[in-house]
Amino acid sequence: MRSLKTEIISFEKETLKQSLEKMDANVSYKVKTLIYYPYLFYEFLVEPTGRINRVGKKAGCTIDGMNKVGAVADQAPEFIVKKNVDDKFVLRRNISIDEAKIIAEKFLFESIYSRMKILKMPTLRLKHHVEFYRPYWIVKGEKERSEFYLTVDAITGKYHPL
Amino acid sequence: MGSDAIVFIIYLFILLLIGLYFSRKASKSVDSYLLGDRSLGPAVTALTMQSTSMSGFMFLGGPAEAFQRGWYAILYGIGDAGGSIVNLSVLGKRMRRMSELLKALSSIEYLEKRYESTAIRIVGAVISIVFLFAYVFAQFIASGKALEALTGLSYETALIIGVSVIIVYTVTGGYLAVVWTDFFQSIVMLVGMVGILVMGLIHVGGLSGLNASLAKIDPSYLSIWGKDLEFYGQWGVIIGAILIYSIGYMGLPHVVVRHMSMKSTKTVKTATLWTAIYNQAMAFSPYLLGLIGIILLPNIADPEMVVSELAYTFFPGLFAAILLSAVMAAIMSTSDSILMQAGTILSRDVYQRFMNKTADQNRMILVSRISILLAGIIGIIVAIKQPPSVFALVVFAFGTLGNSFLVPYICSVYWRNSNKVGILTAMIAGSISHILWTTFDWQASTGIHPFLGGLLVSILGMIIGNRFGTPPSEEVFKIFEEAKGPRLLPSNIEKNISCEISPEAKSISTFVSKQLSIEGQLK
Repeated sequence: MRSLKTEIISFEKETLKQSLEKMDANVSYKVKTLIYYPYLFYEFLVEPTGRINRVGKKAGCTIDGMNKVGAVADQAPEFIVKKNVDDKFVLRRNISIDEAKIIAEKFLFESIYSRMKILKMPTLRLKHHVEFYRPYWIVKGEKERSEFYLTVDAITGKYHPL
Repeated sequence: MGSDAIVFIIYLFILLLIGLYFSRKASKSVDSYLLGDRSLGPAVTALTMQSTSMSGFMFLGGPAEAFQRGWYAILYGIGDAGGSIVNLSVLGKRMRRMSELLKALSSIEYLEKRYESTAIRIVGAVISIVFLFAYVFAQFIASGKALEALTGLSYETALIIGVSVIIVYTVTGGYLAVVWTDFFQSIVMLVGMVGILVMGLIHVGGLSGLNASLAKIDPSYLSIWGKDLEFYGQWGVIIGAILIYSIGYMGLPHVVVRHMSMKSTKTVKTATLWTAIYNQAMAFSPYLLGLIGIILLPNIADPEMVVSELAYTFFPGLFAAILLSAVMAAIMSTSDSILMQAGTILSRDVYQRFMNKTADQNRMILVSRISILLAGIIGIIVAIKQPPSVFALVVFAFGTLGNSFLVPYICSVYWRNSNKVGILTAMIAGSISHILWTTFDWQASTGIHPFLGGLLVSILGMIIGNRFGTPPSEEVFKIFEEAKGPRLLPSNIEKNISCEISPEAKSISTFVSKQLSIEGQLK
């Protein structure tokens, strides 16, 4: 068992089943299990370079703990729960905290310099970072004789086939 | 300074106030600026995006083409109205899947990874930079003309002021282009364009009246072959005119950034629908205004000024000045994003990659901004020395980009064995043939539009070049097959897949099959 920081699930088993079935009534779904996926969230304080080039006060970046890919995050994840989860349902991240920080800084630089009208890069100072796990449902769909699997983000309801 | 110039300055000042107000109120972080405010509805999001894509072409180039060639010009509008739909349906899904699998963030990086070739990245970056700048030069010329009409200054002076304003706005604008300023401008542009069109149609007696009047002046204005039947029987010209905007979009390099959105993707989907509706309304208006200009402004000295002249004809000076200010603002909002994109490609894909691998962040920004400044200076020189028409320059830049990248993008997802030699040949042959076709006016002798000519040469280059290259690696073949599908999902489920969680899905899939065994525990 492991103790994880995770978010409160918005799509519970039954809600999820109903939402999916609404999309196609001919498909039956079985919501199987929850998998916990690792992310690292970094929040930086942005120090402005001058009066004209005010670029904001903070910047957040989430790093995918498995694929080492960055993404701008417009809000910090809310860690409402600490949960004990069986190890076999948890993906172990394959990136270190320091490595993730470098990727986050690089990602934010790329995003800022390619899209913002600035003459000088503002200084980013790390405010805090946190490792968290997002729950993903594994769902099995059956239609006539065929079957397929989906993974569904239990916070947003977004899904992708497996 | 005339009163209209004061209106323009006040207009810019209002934009500045809107930008500052909303940036202080809503955008406390860089993130909300970069991602846009997702609490906005789909319609606002769509209109905001459109204000960036609407450029000087819409207000100056398109109407001038219709003024000079009649209904033939509407062929460009047909392509424009359907271009994004064709783009999505032909390339959309497969290219998106393959981008995810290749972990490519930009379209040039995508081609480099798909064909495992640095040369493709270099050639692609050079073509993109040159022709994105050429596209901006057209906006510079448009800015000179718009400011000339507004201020009464000479074209040269207006041009220098216009380009300077654009450059300063691009490199030091900070928050100026926040979502609400773009939204405000899109409304002014929409109201202005539709307002002038409605007034124009009332003046000429509707579409029937318009056609009847055109027929009286010269019946050939009504022909799809152009005024004086200039392109009579030349299907190569007609097809090329339609194709350039209907399929040319597939050849435009665009930056794809993967966002980890915390909210629903529904907004994006509805916004796409709104964009399509907006496009249908706006794609034909410039050309119809050009046709109305033939009747109401037969003696106009510069056909590119049809819209501004019509604005002053139909509306009080103040309203017309506001509209022209919006035209200038449209030019600015288009120019800044293209200049930023070209500057970024130059500094990241060329300078950092090949000239200074250890360049620090501020050096990268400096290189990007200096290139923007140089583009401004070169743009002014070109626009003063030998100014081409806005229409000609936009079609030239757009066509060359399309001819360079269209075949490579399509082959990347539909031709499994396409290789880097084929792609390089297609890119180089496509761009060079389009440049030569336009420069030496081969359209006149061949009856084939430069875009169609470039496309045919590019396809030929692809087929011939591909024979001399080695096949892609096994890894790429695997990705190609994976991107192709099919996934055998019910269509409603397939339609709503969130591609941004594709990397997560891949990792989860591997994990589940190893740890939990789908066949075992999950069954």
